[in-house]
Amino acid sequence: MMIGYTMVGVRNMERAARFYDAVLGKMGATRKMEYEKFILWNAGSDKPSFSICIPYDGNEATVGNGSMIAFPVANEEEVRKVYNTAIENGATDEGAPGMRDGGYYIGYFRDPDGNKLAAYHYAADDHL
Amino acid sequence: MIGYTMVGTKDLKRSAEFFDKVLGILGAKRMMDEETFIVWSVTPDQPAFSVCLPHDGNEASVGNGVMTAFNAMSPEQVNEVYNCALENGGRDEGAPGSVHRISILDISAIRTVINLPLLILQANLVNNQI
Repeated sequence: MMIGYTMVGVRNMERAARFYDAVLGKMGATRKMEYEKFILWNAGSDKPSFSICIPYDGNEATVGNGSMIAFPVANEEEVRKVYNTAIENGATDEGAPGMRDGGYYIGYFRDPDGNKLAAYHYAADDHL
Repeated sequence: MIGYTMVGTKDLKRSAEFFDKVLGILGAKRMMDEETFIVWSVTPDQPAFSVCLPHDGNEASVGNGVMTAFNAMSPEQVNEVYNCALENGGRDEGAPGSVHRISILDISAIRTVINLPLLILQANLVNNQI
């Protein structure tokens, strides 16, 4: 597994934790590590993890332009569920769920700190 | 749960050359190669890493707190990835070291991070711990 985990910076751990409990929970992930400045979720110990942190350098978390983490889900309905859950929990829209170039059904949103995320279904992955 | 991650770059060609070398050590190769983004993965069913020229047309930037961590197969491979990165324009953010039990302090301490001006990555040997 080339990617072990990903991390985004947040300014408010409690707010971010609530947001990701709701959104990642839709994908079957639960908190696996939890510290004062770091929380990590995954859907199994053999799966890549997602994490949030208060930045190590003590400066405020910021968003990288061009940075994004994309979550694969089982079908288009699940894309809409994840997207809607995110919006209901404080996300901002970055592109509603729909079919995009290349056969991706994808919805884009930003977490309460502005980190860009996406939920998608790619039909060509169904055989995997 | 993670299909792919993406970071922005100001120079796609430079990034491509960098990641060809660094991710090549992990067995990854280019799976998609477009005008504004490139995707690497080991196999199609594994999570992919990508670099892009940002969609909004503004310059790429780095997010503080944002990181993608790569699994290596051994401590030797961690060193290989780290050294390759530094030889190809990466910047040190914490030399390779061994960590067996992770705490929040350790997470900071183990940051075996490769940092291009725009790209922050991590290679470490803690795939089973974190």
